[in-house]
Amino acid sequence: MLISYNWLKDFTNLKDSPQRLAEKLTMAGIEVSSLEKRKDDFIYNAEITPNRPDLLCAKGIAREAACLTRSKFYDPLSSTVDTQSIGGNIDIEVKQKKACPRYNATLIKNIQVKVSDEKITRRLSALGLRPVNSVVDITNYFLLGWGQPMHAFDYDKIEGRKIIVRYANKGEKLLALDGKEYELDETILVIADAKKPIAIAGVIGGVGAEIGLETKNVLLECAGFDTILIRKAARKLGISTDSSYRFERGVPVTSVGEIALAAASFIQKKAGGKIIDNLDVSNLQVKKVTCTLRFSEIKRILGINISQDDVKKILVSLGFIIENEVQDSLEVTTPFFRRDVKREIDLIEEIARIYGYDKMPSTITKVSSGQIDNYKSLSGVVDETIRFAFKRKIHQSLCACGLNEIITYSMISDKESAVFGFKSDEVVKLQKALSSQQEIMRPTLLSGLMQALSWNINRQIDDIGVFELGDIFINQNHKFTEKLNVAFGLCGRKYINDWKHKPKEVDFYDLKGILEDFLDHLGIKDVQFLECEEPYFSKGAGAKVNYKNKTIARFGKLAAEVISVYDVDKDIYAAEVYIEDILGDMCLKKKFKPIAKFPAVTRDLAIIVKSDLSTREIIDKIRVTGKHLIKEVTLFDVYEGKQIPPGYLSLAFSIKYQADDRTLIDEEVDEIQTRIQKVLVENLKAQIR
Amino acid sequence: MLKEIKELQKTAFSELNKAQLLEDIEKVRIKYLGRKSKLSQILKGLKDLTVEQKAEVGKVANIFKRKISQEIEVKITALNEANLWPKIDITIPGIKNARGHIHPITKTIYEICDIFTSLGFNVVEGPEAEKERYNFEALNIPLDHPARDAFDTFYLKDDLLLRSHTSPVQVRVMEKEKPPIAIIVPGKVYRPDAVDATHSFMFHQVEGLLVDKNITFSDLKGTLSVFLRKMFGKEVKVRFRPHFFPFTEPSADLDVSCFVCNQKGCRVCSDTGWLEVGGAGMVDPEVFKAVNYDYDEFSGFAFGVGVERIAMLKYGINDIRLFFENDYRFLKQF
Repeated sequence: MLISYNWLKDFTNLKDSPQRLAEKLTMAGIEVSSLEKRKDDFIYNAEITPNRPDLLCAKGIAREAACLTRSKFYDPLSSTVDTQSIGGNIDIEVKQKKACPRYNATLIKNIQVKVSDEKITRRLSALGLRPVNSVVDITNYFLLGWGQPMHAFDYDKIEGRKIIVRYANKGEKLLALDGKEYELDETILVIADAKKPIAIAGVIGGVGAEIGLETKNVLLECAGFDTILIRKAARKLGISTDSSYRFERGVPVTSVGEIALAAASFIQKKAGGKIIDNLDVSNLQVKKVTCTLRFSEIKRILGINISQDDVKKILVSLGFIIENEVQDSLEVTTPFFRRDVKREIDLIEEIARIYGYDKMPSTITKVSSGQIDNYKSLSGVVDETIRFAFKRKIHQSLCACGLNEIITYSMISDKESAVFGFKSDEVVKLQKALSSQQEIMRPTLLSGLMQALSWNINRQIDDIGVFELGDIFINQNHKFTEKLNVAFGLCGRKYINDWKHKPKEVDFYDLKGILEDFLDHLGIKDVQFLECEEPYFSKGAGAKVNYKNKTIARFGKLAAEVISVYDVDKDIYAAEVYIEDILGDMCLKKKFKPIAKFPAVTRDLAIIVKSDLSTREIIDKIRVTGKHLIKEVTLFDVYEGKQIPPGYLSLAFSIKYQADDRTLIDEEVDEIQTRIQKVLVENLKAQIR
Repeated sequence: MLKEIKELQKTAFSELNKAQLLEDIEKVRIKYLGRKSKLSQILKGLKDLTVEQKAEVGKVANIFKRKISQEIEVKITALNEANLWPKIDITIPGIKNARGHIHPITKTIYEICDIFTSLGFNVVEGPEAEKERYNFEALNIPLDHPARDAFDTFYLKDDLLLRSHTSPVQVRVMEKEKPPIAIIVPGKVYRPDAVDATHSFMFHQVEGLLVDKNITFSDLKGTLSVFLRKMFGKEVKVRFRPHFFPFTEPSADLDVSCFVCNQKGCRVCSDTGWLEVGGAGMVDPEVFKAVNYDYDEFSGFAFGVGVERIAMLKYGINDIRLFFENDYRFLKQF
């Protein structure tokens, strides 16, 4: 909101410089974000928090400024009319008394609408309002000066000379002063004449009863409306006006009468004419808000000792009334314009704000009751802390594999979720998406992974390894679930920018190696690798990992249909691990195993087998045959080609033998090795090379 | 003959001295010590000498042989040693293992959480898809109130929305646990803002909450001053400015002195000399009421900071979109 420094001086004998005042306002919660010199004035741009509608005018800011600078505060407002003496000339019917607790109308006749004088036009323009004419400008002048939105109707254009405050009928329309036609309905409160709406209550007036230079008689509206109602109407119609902005936040109804007459007098003075009548329809009982302020509570919340006198001074200068004072507390009544202050804590905030946050001490506390018992009661929290530790471990683990972390948007397009095989009843849609690119909560992290890969590939960055750790959202058996997943992907080559090694295209086994390492690092042992038919993997190049009879990961080469959605035509190898399902099994604890005391013996074994035989089966056979003496079986060469018949593979294993209790002798190892060879030949039709 | 040998020794040593390369030394060796060497030639004449003379010449010849061989050895060793170094061009880049990088947002979150865990806080997370009660009502944000404007929200279905701040986790924890509570809550939040250099519909926050007996606004100031100075450097000034949040009372905005311009005024701080980095306040009694805490017994403070904002300030990043584009040239810088 814009504030004129000079205007503040109408209300207070300010002595502080504009800069100094801006600082003080900022440090009292009215953040002045910029200050601009304009001719002989200074214009502040300040942020007014939604709890302080009283500050949406010069008077409100001036009151605060007077308090902060210890200056006097006064209101120059005066009316020359005696409200008691008139009545009977205006016809008003308020049909919705709750929605419109107060409606005040003043009839001024025989005016002459002109251009406003220089002082008013200058002030309005400085604060961003376009001067219109001497009547409309005065309503705006009171809006900016006293915070009271008002509306002036051309009395002669009001059909039947009757004002009705009612809800609109469905289908009614209003051509408003902003030039737009609004379609109304029965949730929107309107000011109507005998036939039709002439204004949307508290929001905007209609063109029909607009004040023009030809206007002779003016009906000046000064009213109070329900905040929620105005907010809903403004939102529904998609408009926000200076009037609706203030009504939404709350305009005090108590002062409506005085301001109406003061404004009317002002119009009389500036545009001539005569106040004929003023009618005030009020259904309002203003309740006094009083609360007790204990000094001990100030100390308990703020941690400061502030003298009783200072407390009283602050409150009084902000317009609060001290009703009663006993030894350790005050009885305080809130002024009508401070509806935000209702409780003791609200009063404490007022004191803190004016006393100055910067004057309060800085202390640091230990959680007082941090005994073991109490930490026990925090068990739920401790579990959560471990979850965070797991996440950190995942980050470290994948980073150590040379992958770079990415963070992608949690919303994806319909097309993306479909290409990864999710049906529409499995995914969770946003009710109101910002765009079709982001309308579905991601059911997989692979989509974001592809987005990131695509972004880079399109910028000639082709050799990539990335991972993302984040939540996915799905309807599982018609129940909404949010789960933690991790995904990683590779494309292009490794050993690039390396003069010693030749670059090598990454493949399935690079991906699998990372996955194996990763699971091992998390303490997930004894997993099974199985083929997987998911259509988002290329045929024959998809796999899954089972653990305790559950699939905990899927990985492989992404299918052409998938990557084409992202305009990518390179081979992408990607994995997704369903972390949520293994969190309980993940292990941060490590247990030390004694290092073997006796030397190991290593023997190589080369065999030729049919190429469709799974290597897993061969290794299992070797291990079963050699029992506990085999510590490690490593596949170190795979060969097909010359000397190997088609349909066969040559595999070379290195077998490490070791006993825990003695040094193995050659004969013993030879004996086992021979037995293994025999088993492989007999059971797997292997041929020993 | 003795004279001849002495001559030979002289030329041999002078040639050896001149020899710079291994080949040259080898030539010298062959020339003076080989089977067809000059010495052999000279010694062929031995048969014409007397026994005494033979012994004398033999001795001299042997000394010559030993001396020259020794000298050759020394020379070769020295040369080999010297050759050892120039063989490695130390300016050729080393062979690097591919190093992964943690996203700057994650890095910043860890940094913030580490500071608070060192102060005794526990890290807690909550769901991104949240119930209305936790996101709004229990935090004293009423429906249809302008205070809600700042918390515009994506809805998934009735009573399920994407949290617009991390504060719901406060309520979740307080509902489950009794004080003392000291938690720090990192996470993603969502608000339907159009994307530009400073706005994103998805971003990250870190929320904190401390509830116990006798927690005061001064504790809030002290704790957060420690945090901000650990985060931004000992020399930064910290400022607490009154503000409004529905779930705290009194409330404050957190500012640090602009470390870009040292408060001389710059674009980053809009010439104010201060950078807003978060919000804080004493937990509002209404929030305690929502979780059945006795306000007369307990008090506490809560705070929240924007992770992107902090990361942007810390690393000098000028566009929030960079965080979510995941450009390799960006990621590899952290």
